[in-house]
Amino acid sequence: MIQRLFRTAIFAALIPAGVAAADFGGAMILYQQGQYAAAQQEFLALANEGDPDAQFILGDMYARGQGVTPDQIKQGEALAAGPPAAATPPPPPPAAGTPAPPPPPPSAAPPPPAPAASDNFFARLSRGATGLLGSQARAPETNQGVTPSLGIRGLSAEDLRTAAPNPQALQQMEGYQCNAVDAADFARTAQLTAQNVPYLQTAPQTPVNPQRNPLMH
Amino acid sequence: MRVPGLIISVVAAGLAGSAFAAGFNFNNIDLGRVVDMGQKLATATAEVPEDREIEIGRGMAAALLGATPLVRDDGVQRYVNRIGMWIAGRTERAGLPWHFGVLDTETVNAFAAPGGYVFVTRGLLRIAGSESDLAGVLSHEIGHVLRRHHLEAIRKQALQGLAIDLVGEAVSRSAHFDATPFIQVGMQIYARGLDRDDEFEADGIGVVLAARGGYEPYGLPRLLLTINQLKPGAADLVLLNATHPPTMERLARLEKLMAGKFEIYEHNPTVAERYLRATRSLPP
Repeated sequence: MIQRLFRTAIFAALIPAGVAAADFGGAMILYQQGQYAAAQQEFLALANEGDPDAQFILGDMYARGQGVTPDQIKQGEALAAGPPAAATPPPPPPAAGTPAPPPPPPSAAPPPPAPAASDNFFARLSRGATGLLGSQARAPETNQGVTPSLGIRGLSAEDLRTAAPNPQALQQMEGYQCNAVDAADFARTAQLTAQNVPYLQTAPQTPVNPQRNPLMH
Repeated sequence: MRVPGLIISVVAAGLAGSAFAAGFNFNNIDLGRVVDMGQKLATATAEVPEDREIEIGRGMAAALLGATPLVRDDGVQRYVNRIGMWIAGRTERAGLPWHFGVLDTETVNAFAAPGGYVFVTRGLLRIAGSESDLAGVLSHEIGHVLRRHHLEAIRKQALQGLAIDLVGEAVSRSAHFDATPFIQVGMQIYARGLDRDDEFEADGIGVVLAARGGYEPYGLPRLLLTINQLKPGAADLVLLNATHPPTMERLARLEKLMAGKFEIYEHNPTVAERYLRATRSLPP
């Protein structure tokens, strides 16, 4: 395990900021580093080769404007707004002379949509959405899907490493334990019916292309 | 106190080659010692008995509660215990003493400790929108417990640190057992995260268990998508992002995994109203 961690760490360290990676795992790292433009280029290349994961991620990036330049967003908005005349500012007063003709409509095509399979998956996710993902976000400060920064330091790795046990809190937590009968009653009141669902075959996965994800060993 | 011994052993892992060999006389190999070591190693790779697993998990839970307190809201705590117990009751380890707790922190995260201790944070409850969402996360954490992911990570760490005697002690039926060093390594694993494969496996279990509970099973990926749409690098997400594979990669895998198998459950209840009612009292 330590060896694996080392290899992962070394791999991550070997990808300097801004350097394009040539595969899915590298593109993921760029994405995680917030280098959306670079990640987008990589995902785009993979998506054009028919990689469904890359298409899936690309679709999501487009939907959120990641890796898309402000110009592209403006052009997309202008297209969405309809005829270009509606998007142009009102002409200056006549005293300023003859107003310049409106700029030609933007020529860049909007980003390609995600493939149908991803649409289905996303559609299912948003169908049941009642939290932040849906439109009924509860906390007003959480609109636009952006978490507020409350200035309160969250739980850090250091807090976990240095934590001193709190046996009283543990005892309190154990006092909340629920028995199976209560749990079944609770489920019934929400029309939940137990289903027979077998486990999925998840691990170990054999990558189709061994180069595809260098973080997996 | 056994802690320093293990910590030193773990630290020594990097130097293991020289430090370990120093114990042998290569000109006159102490075969008895080699055999003894082999036997201990064989013992150490046996399964940790369930009562000791619970003891280690209980200690990790107490330490976690030392890092961040419980939300002071009996209603919310009982609510999460009912959902968790309903789901855990549909698994092969239904008989564990399952306990669920809501931690009072804005941080968006969830934790599992061996033996059936599961935590979600107030920050996570805030971004979830239904019982289906919460059930997905609880199921993911229950999955870690079912497959003994933390326990195995602790054991591997200890074996690599050549703390073989300690691990042997944990798996043997001898009366003497001190869980403290295991708890300490367990807390390191919280800080560092599990192996990626363990997380992907728990994701797969997460959607299965939510479906077993009768919930609409897309709660876990929905919550992952929600997390992905939060401000990248937000303080509330630092720990989660540092200790888990990228959310988009988890989503991509879940999409593949769920395709063709879960659509039949998509109209099961999300139980959103009860969720919103039950969590209304939490501060924003």
